[in-house]
Amino acid sequence: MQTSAEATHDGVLVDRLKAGDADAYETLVRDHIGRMLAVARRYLRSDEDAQDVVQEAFLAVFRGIDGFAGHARLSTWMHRIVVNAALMRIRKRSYTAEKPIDDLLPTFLDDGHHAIEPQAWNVDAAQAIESAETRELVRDAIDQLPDGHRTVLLLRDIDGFDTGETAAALGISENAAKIRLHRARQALRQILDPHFSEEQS
Amino acid sequence: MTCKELVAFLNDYREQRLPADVAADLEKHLDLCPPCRAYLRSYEETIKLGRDAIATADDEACREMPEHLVEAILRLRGSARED
Ligand SMILES: [Zn+2]
Repeated sequence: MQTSAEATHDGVLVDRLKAGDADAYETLVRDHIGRMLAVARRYLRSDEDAQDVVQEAFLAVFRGIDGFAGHARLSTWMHRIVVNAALMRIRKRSYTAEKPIDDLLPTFLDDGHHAIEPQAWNVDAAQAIESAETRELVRDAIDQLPDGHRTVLLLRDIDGFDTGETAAALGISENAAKIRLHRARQALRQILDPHFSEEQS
Repeated sequence: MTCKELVAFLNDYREQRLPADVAADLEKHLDLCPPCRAYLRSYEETIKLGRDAIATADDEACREMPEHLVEAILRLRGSARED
């Protein structure tokens, strides 16, 4: 939900953009470039790619502004544009086969019991994340996920896409999107496990 | 229900997409199985840790102002207008 102050700010800015006001364009770029870069960087592993994608995204924004109807917030609309530009870049880049994720999934005995019993974590996320070291650790762990799973995790858990939107953005079925999300979270849990399980401390 | 099945159903359970009888079986298993309880809790923590780690990275990036990129993008505006 947008507040009326935000709606007014967006509305005024959009009107000025549509009128071709150069200052309004500079305001738009300066207001959004940091967040756009952050979004591009989490999808792409190279900063150069991220900067290219942010440029492409702004170009799409400039071209699309006349058609921007104001049903969504400007920042929400721009967020979608940069995510889609990043996904397109990943698609162009990944000619190599997806790294298998199986090694990062839990294993079970023939009778269905855990092959390695999960231990409780001695972690409170809200508290743990106060430490820059933990944040770095978690971001590195996400980066270790294979692309096809990492992108689903980012879209669903971080960027607020629902299952249908994720499936459409990646050109996969909704069922595949659901399976990948569950596997990606399981794999991430597994990578983080040695750092947070009680035996460790 | 086995531990393996429970783990497979975990996300559907969290999102309340399981039929009532399967959900009841799953809860019965959770009651009796500490490793599966540990798994569920750490799965939830994983989601939160991911969200929080990225959100703070976003906040840090918002304070960045890469001037060369700002300039490059504003130059693009010229080409956007031409076509
Ligand atoms: Zn169990």
